[in-house]
Amino acid sequence: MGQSNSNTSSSTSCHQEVISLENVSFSFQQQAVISDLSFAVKERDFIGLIGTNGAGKTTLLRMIVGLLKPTSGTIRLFGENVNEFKQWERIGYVPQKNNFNPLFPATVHEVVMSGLYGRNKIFKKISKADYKKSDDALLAMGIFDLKDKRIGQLSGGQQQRVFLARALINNPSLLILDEPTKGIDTETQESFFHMIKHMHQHHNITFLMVSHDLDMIRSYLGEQAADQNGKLKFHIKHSHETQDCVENDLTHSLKGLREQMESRKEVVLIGDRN
Amino acid sequence: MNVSQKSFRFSVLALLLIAILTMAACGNNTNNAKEADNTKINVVTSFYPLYFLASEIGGDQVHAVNLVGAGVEPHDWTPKSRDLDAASKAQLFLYHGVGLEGWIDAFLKGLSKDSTVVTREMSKGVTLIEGSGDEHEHEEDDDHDHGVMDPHTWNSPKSALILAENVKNSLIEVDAANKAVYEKNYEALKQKLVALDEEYTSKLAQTTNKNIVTSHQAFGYLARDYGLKQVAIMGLNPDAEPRAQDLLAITKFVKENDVKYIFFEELVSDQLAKTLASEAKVKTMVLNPLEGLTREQEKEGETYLTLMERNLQNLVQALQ
Amino acid sequence: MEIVTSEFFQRALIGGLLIGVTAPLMGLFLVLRRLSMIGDTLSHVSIAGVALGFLIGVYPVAMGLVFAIAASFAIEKLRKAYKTYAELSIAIIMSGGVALASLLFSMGKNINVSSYLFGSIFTLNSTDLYVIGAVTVVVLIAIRTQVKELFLLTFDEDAAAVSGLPVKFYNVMISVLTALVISVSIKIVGALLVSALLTIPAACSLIVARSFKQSVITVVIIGELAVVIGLLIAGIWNLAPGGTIVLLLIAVLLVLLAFRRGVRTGN
Repeated sequence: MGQSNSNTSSSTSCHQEVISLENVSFSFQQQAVISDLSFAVKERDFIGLIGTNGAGKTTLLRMIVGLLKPTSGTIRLFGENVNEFKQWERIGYVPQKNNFNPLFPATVHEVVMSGLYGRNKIFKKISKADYKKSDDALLAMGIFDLKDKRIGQLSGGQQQRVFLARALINNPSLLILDEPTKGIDTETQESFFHMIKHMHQHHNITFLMVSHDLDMIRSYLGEQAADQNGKLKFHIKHSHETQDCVENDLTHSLKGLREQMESRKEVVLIGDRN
Repeated sequence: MNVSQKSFRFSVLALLLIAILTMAACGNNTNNAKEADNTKINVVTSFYPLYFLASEIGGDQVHAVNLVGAGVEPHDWTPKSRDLDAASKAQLFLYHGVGLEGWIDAFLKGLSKDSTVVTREMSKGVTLIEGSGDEHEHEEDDDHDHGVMDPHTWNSPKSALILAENVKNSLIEVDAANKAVYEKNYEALKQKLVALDEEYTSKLAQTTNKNIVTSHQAFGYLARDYGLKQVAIMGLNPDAEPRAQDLLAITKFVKENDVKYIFFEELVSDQLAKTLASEAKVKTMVLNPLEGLTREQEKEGETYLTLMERNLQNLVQALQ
Repeated sequence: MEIVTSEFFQRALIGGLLIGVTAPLMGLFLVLRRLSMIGDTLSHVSIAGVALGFLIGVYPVAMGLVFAIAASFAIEKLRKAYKTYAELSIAIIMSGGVALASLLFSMGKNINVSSYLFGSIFTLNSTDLYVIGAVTVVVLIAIRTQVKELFLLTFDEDAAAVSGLPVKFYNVMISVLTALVISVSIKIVGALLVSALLTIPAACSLIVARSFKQSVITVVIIGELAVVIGLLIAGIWNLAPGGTIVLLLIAVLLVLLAFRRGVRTGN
């Protein structure tokens, strides 16, 4: 994607680079999955990533979050090499629909709280503030009253909200979503995207999302892919195209997010409650 | 990644090397001992007491080889192909019988077809006693190791005399030319065994307590021949899981009969005897069932006779 | 009931109660990570270590521990080599352990093989109890302070890594703790039955527990009950204790399964 890099590089100083890839390649068993990919994601961008099966979507996301090492090239998060990156709480990651055992004995609340247990928190006890955060994340996702249910009893859409709530509990600046609506019915998908869009428009979060839902990607991020690498297609909504640096109604707090979401209850509650 | 791969490779190679060296070392150990000697009569015996008798009576005419090596419990032993080979090449193969060698039927069938080895059962002529003890019902899985009869004949000097005679007769059978030598050696050994028998009889007659508590019911013949009563911690097989009521019953027996020592045998772990001894607040002592020698005993030149002496001393001390 | 007052029974009870907490706890993490067969494998390898310990005159349980830890690392290595057929590594290491054990036992002396295969809880001595006690303390401290992280790792290893959890460290920690618990449990329930004490309480908790917290509590309660009642039954009716405890655990599991089915059809 190196060629088009020039048109994003003219951004203003507040549009800091959140993710940057330089000549990243990845091959698996001598087969190139991703070759020589360069691109940058700036603050408050929304990147939609589409591609056929095997195009390397999940591989790319896993490299960005440090689960896979690129064969060559450099990946930076918030300006720091991913190998040295420490501030993982700034990143919310929702992996492709978890294939956890439905019998796994964990409540929604326990799963959401687990978003807080990363590095730097070893030996730290759970505080009242942590419980508050979990409540806020649950309320923002409209699943507060499912809090004590076993995660396996929830519908696919509800589970996806649980994982989104877990990703949000640290109030991240970057959300990485891998096929968040896979295996979920259309109606629920729609409400989920409404929620995501709303979060993007009113909250200070950068999005990188893999999706197979072309309609949603196109309607929100534009008909044409802004860039392409192999079979990977990037649809981008740059923040500096729509927003100024100083944005008054932009919040960056979990509590703020919760209040916004609650005030738009109809968005949150469409569809996937049973 | 490269470094860790290298170190992984290195550790795998190192492990393999160690494994091969260990096996080679162990292999060598037994190899030399079991090699046939063509200038002598080769006699293969199944376990230590027969080996002892064969080497004593055979003297310089005989090259005796023991199958169950030093320090191995004969109940846990299984024959390997080298053992079959050694027995096939020998002139005489002596085994005890009465189910002591659970593997014997398969072993005899496995001897090579063109082998001229003469195989003899040595326990013939000993008056056998029932295997199961009075206190303890027979465990089901005992039967594959032992028959219904108690195989531990050699722990009594009286039956050792019969075994010795059988060994002598078998040797003469395969090597009649040296009959005189065997007879002479046998007479010398017989005198020692008779002396041992007399010592057992006189010393054990003087003891006040007649109850011996052992970890393995291996002293039935000894008890019968010298007027003792054996209470075994377990049934005939040393390999059964200890159960609470059994332990409790023996503890009671120990207390009620004023038993001062609990005997354990050397080839089996002593933890059970120790548990009982600490429960009943008595001491433990070794009573060797003489099924084999440990490597240390071998090195120190212990024999059937010296160990039988030690058993007697221990018995006398325990039964005072 | 005079059995209860005897020293060997009391020692068995203490040892059993300690293992009744630690084994089910470690087992819960193994089962939830779908690694329940690892318990079996490590115990068989541990037996080889016990045999070597006897052979070279080192405290057998310690040698068993060393072997179990080595095996758990070997399994991780092989798991990476055979990614998609991870259970292969378990089968390979297990047969390797059994093979090595049989080799060492056949060279050995003074070993009561069955006391390590089927357990020998009534012959625990005070050294054994101290070792079991120390292992219990280590396991309980580790779980008490790290339960949140262990939960995250168990539930979603990827998310754990992305949230910055040192996943490798925790994987090693689980392996080492499991190896510790297994090598000391062998004398109590025996190598053949160790995996029952690791997995069955966890299997029960999957049926009963509605939350992770509950499942932790459930495994401990079931483990302790099985050990105490099993020892009493075995003591009074003169049964093999290790086997009794395991059969009791299976009975509890069956009752819970039946009960759950009843509730379902009732609804």
